[in-house]
Amino acid sequence: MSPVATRALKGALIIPLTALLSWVLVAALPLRTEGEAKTETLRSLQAQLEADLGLGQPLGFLRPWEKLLAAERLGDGGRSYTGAELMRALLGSLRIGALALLLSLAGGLLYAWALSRTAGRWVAVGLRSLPPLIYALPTFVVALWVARSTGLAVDDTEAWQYEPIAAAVLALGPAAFVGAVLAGALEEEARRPYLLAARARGLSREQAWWRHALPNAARAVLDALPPLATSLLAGSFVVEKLFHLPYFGYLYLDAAQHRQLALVVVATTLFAALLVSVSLGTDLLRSWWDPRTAAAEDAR
Amino acid sequence: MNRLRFWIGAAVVGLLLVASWLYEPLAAWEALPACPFGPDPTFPATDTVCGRTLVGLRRSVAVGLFAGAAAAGLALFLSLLGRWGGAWIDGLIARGADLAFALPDVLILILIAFVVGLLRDAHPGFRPDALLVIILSLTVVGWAAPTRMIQRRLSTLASQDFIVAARALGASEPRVLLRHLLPFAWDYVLAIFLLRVPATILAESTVSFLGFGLPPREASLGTYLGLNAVSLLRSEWAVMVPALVLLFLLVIAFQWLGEGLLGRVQERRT
Repeated sequence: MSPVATRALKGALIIPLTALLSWVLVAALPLRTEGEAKTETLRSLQAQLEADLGLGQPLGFLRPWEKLLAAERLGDGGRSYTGAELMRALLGSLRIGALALLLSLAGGLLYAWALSRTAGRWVAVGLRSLPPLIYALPTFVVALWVARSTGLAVDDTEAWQYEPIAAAVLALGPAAFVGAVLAGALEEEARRPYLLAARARGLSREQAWWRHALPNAARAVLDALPPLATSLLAGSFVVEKLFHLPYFGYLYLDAAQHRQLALVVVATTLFAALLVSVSLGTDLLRSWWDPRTAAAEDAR
Repeated sequence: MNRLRFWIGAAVVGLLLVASWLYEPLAAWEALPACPFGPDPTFPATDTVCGRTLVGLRRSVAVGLFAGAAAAGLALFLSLLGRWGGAWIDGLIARGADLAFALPDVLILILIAFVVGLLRDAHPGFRPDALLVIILSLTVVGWAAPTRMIQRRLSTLASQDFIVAARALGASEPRVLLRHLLPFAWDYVLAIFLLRVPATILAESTVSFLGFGLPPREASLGTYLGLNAVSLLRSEWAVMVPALVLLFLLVIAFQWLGEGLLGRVQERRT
């Protein structure tokens, strides 16, 4: 079996493991408070929770997933969702995440290009100090400031129009990260003899940068994709809450705040699946982009 | 440059901490003028913006330092355990760290807050200290990256001649670890701890901002910003700006402190 397939298999195991562990954790928790047990309404909510989680049933941990596949509602009251609604929310988050990923890659590339073109020492020092300054700004601070500047009220029902702005806010930190990683990798590439040889054969500085240095340095960015996805996911909780975008991050916070246990189990598993998919996608992309990696792994 | 960054970072952190420690006693003796930013919007009768943000800063620093130290300590312990236990245990710890590192801090912190909230509701006697809970939660999420870094550092050190010589002279594995490897890893562990502090402060401020961190009465900078987020939307800058500036300065100062020290360690190595 190829190393990528082995890693894919190992990664895929994380998904059912997360589903099982999160269900076991939630099922082990006390679901009622002393006060809650007294009223009839809360007793029915309790029964709903137990039914959602499949407590006391054989293979109960599959129950939330069965309900979603059968188009039944998961959760209680106004906070219940069908499988299709959850998928719509997930797609909304993915849309923002994908746009943010593109923006952060473009921003990082622009930063690395600007740094490579900078001749002045102080301009370079200024540019180099940008990523640490951006890291020190929590996403929620930027999101708050942007929400205020765009006049977005927290309860704005037309908030979906703000998806591109939310993606831009989300992309700021990751763009600084990509920029710093790419700039570092390009500096290393610039010291290698093949680049000098390319220049000696008549390529301009710009041509050597785009055709030779960048494709080699881009491997470092590929390696950084999984942590980038993790960082985008963490940021999505904040921007979706602040821009009131009713997508998956928002839904997760709402489910955790309102004790929607079955939804927490399902959403945690889907998050794990998403991160595993990104990791697998990165592995495949790396093997295609840089055959040396695949060859080295085969040799190992 | 590394030395300069280290000292600037240390000076800023020191100044911020002194200001936060001195503010309350000086304000109690009425030795300070009234807070220029006005009363705190959440507790206007008892607190001012200055008092809440400076005390919040102290809590943020406490969370950062204790959780950072606990995470770095746990990482060091696991790395030493891995080296002592052999390749299989070392590999197992590395895989565990990779798995924990793959999940976002905020997601795990929300899950822990959710579990603690359920336990608190179910058992009226269960009232864990909020600060302790957040420090432990941040330790749970913060051990993975330092563990991988320390494992790599120990692995590099273990291949050096003086370690081979110690083994050849018959030193036992615990002796090699504690007497020969550890003294060379301390400064690296300290740098990792200092770099972990700003990351911890940022993670805590984010979960507190989302409402899963410290309670309003024991606010950190993140809780304070979360409680007063609407003030910024209403353009009430005076309520938010001090906390935003303090958070930014704190994170930058700790970053410089950690990067300065790490730079010095790497310079010495080369």
